[in-house]
Amino acid sequence: MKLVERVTGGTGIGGPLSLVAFVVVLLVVPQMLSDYDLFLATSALIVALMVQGIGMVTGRAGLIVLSQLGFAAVGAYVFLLMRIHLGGAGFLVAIVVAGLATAVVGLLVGLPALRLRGVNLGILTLVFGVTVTVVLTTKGFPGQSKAYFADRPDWLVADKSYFYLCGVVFALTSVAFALLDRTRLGASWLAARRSERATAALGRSVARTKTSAFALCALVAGLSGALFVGQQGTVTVESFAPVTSLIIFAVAIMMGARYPEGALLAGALNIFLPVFFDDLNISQNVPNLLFAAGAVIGLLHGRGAAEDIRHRLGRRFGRTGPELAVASADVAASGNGAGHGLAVRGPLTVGATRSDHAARDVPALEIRNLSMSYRNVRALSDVTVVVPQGCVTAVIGPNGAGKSTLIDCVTGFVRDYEGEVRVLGERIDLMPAHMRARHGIRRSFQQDRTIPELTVERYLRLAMPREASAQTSPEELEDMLAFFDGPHPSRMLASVDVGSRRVVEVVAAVAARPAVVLLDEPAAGLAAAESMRLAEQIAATPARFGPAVLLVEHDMELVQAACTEMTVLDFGEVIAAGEPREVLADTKVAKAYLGQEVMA
Amino acid sequence: MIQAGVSGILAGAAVAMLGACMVFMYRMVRVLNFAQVAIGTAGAFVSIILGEHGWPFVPAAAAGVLAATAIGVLCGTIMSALFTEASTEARSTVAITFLIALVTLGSWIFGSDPRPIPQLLPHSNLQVGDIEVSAATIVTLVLAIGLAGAATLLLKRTRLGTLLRAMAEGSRAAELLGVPSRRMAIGVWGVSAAVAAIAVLLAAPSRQSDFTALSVQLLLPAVAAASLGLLRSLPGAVAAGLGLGVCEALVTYSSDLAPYADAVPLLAILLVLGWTQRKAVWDEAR
Amino acid sequence: MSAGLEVSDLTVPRAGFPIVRGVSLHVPAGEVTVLLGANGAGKTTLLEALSGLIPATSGTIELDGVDIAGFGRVQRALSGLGHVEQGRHVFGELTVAENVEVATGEAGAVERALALFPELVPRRDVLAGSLSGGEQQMVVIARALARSPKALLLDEMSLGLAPVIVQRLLPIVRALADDGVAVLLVEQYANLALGIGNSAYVLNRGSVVLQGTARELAENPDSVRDAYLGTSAVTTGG
Repeated sequence: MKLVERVTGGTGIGGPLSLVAFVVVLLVVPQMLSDYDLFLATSALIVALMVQGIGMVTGRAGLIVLSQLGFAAVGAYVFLLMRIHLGGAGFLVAIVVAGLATAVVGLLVGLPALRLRGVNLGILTLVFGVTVTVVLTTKGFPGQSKAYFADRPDWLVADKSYFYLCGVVFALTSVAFALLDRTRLGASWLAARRSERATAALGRSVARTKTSAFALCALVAGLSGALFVGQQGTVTVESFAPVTSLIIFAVAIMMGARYPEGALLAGALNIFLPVFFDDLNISQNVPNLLFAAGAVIGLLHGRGAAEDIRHRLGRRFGRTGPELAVASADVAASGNGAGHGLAVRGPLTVGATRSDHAARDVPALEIRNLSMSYRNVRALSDVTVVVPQGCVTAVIGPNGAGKSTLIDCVTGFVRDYEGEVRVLGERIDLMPAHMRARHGIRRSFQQDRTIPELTVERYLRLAMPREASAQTSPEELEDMLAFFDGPHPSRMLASVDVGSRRVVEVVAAVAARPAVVLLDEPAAGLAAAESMRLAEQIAATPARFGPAVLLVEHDMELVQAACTEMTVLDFGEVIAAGEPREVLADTKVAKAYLGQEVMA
Repeated sequence: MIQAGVSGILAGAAVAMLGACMVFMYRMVRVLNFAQVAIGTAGAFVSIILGEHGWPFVPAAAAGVLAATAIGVLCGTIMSALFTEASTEARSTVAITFLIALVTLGSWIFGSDPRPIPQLLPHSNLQVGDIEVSAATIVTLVLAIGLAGAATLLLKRTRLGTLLRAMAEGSRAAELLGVPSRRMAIGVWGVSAAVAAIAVLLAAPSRQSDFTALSVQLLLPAVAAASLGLLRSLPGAVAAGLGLGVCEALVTYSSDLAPYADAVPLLAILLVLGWTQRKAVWDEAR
Repeated sequence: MSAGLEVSDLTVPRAGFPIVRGVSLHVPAGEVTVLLGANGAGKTTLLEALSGLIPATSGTIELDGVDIAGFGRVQRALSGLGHVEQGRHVFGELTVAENVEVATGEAGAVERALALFPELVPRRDVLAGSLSGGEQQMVVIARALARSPKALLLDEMSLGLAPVIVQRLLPIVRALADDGVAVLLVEQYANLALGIGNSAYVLNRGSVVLQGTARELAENPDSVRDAYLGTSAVTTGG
């Protein structure tokens, strides 16, 4: 989903330095503020915590979530439940449990997100948030009827201490989120927002990716709900009004919630702006209008204010910004045609391929009697294609012959087919797409599906299984990219032109060392010279890097130069298969496909 | 029991109209208009205020509908000027900001105290056997079904409908063929706003009456109805709206569950969308 | 003022970076003018600026002597400029006939538009989205012609189509020009395009680097290749 489209240029600034800065500010602020302002500052931290959750689901995974206050209300409820009914659990324990319980609720809300997307998810979360408040209006919070006051333990009674506690919780979640961003899961969030299919094709579970984002979002909201109760002493449902959820969402969009400073600013604005206007005797309604306008501006720019500042600073310190990338992509699309020769410095890279463990005569990929119907139209009937290890096999055919459907069936994106698919002898038909990817079948897509927020190297390492990534040195990756005329591994993908991004995608599929790589029209949009070069590279791939290749292409010259076996599809049926020369001599083939070429 | 269900038809029909408006807008101008109900509420409040100043019903209602249309046109103009090429999600988020702005302005201008809302239609009832059906119910029901039917016919049978559908699929391609997509899109905003105002006017007397409450309370079932119509089918949204209205009335009738009546939309969405979308394993991006 | 499309000194930026730089073109009525160039040379950007999809920073665009540079895209379309974008943007949920009706409400327009493509006639009530790529391309062209444009911009209509379809479409383009339309044709099959063209321009990095009659360019593939700067796309499809 493209709610916030443009990419922020990396997380270069920040890290430990900004953490230190935050701690210093945290220590200094209470000394300078009046009691009332300190109370407000604490509220700002609590809201900032909640906004971080939006940064997780919307900022990272690109999903709309309109139920932050609903989650916070759940956290508040659990906190009070723990404090009152469950033997007066310790204050901190109750906060942590509230966060975890809310995370479970978030997980449950995230489950429908596996099927609902875009605005439907917005509807679902909105309705969920409202339902929570409706139920709580009726049920009330624990202790509400007895006017229970959630007193804090002695060491937290002072407002200053409570401010520190909120600051520490915020800092901890910020650090945790920043650390998660560096993991595979962190990269998967960005991947899923770009394309779910591409995420699964990298061997990452989309379900886990999305639900984890929701769970973390709810976790911080639950924490903030609990902290809110601790701050206020007592709460009513009115504090969690659905419209306030929307306003917080708008402020998050306005400031950009993906990074801690954005969340912090959003929290501060949300709390202090109304007070500021009140002091000036201006209606408290004005800030809400400003938030709405600010969100519109944020949407217009494709990123919030804080993200924008980070991006500008990032550019200043030497990263290529995406704007430049767009321009150069248009100009330099054909830039990598005339490069260096096939000889690449360094030794041949021979990593561990899955094939190493299998006997050489077992085919890398076996597609047997595969049939598929789509809305009563037979898209594939009884298709058999075998890709031996160490070979490049091509599937060609006119438009609509079923080539893309075949790839989708084999890689698990279309499930209701009949027939058998085996990778190195192992049946993979029952596996979901991401498990198939892990079991040795990788693919590229016709469109660019790389993740602009990552460097080339990080993208490649995301694609590679953990062990393979650990065994592969940066130099090996650089050589591999150089072999395919790819960009330097340290470049941000956002700054790489579209043609090179597709190369990176191919390299990623190969670098994962699967048994077989499926390339879906890799030469689309390439000039003739470039596509011949690509043909050489593809032809050399099995011997050099291990994986066999199944090549689906339009470009006859490329196919003839790259493959050793060829299968021709027409109207979903195999009409010829064998060595390219024999196949091309077949009159049926000429009639279905090549005749047209010859006529031209 | 049956009487309770029938009394839910009034609310349900208003919700159906609002839901159908949202589906219409979603299909034609790629936005889930979270502000739909708020725009209608603003129009309804204008009518109510004018009524309080002694205006007769018809001119007051007309002025309210016009006011809503103007607000809709304003929102549509902002959207077309700034977010023509933006994604549906981004446009829908812009609609959320419209909602925030309208609710803020609405409670600022009209105050946040509940105000008495006059029954605009004559309070006459129709007796069918043991069951009483109010005139408002019948009018709202007929309007909901009639408008959805008219919109469906318009889209299918007329050239304007063809142009609208073309604009919905590709406003840029349509513009290259000389279709004034932008103006038509703003028109869609205006018309939907007018219908929303009528719906809120009809439903208001049986609902809470301060601006924010009315906007949010009706938004929930309306958005649910649109969602249950799969954001695609006008008759589906109308049926869903009526169904939700009746269900809520029935749940309210059974006193044990009454407090949870507002949870009906959540359950309905989870059940219906969970079922219809069960095969939507992957997103659109390929 | 000559009939046709007259472009002078047009500069078009994308994201602040000039993609088309000071291009002047003459596309006379009754002729096919071919625009060649490597990927990323700025051909599509130029066409988009002509039809008003993206703004130009400087330059003039005259259609039959009328300066249309200040017009919006709808107004340009209504003034007689047709633009067939690459990628075959049919209205997939509209029937073939409805696709044409979007362009014009005149009676009999559908029949006239489909007369050029007899294979579409039996499919006039089929949803355009279910047609094959070649048929969709025909719908897109038929739709653009229904408005009887004075000038027609055709962007890579053969992209992703079998060459046999291209063979079918090019003579129609020629016939259009013979009827008096000013055609600006961007085509990857350079030789085929030059075969039906009157004159041609080669674009490189946003500037015109070579121009001449179609025959001159067809007979001098070497100079065309030089103009492409090292890419040999001009030999494809031969």
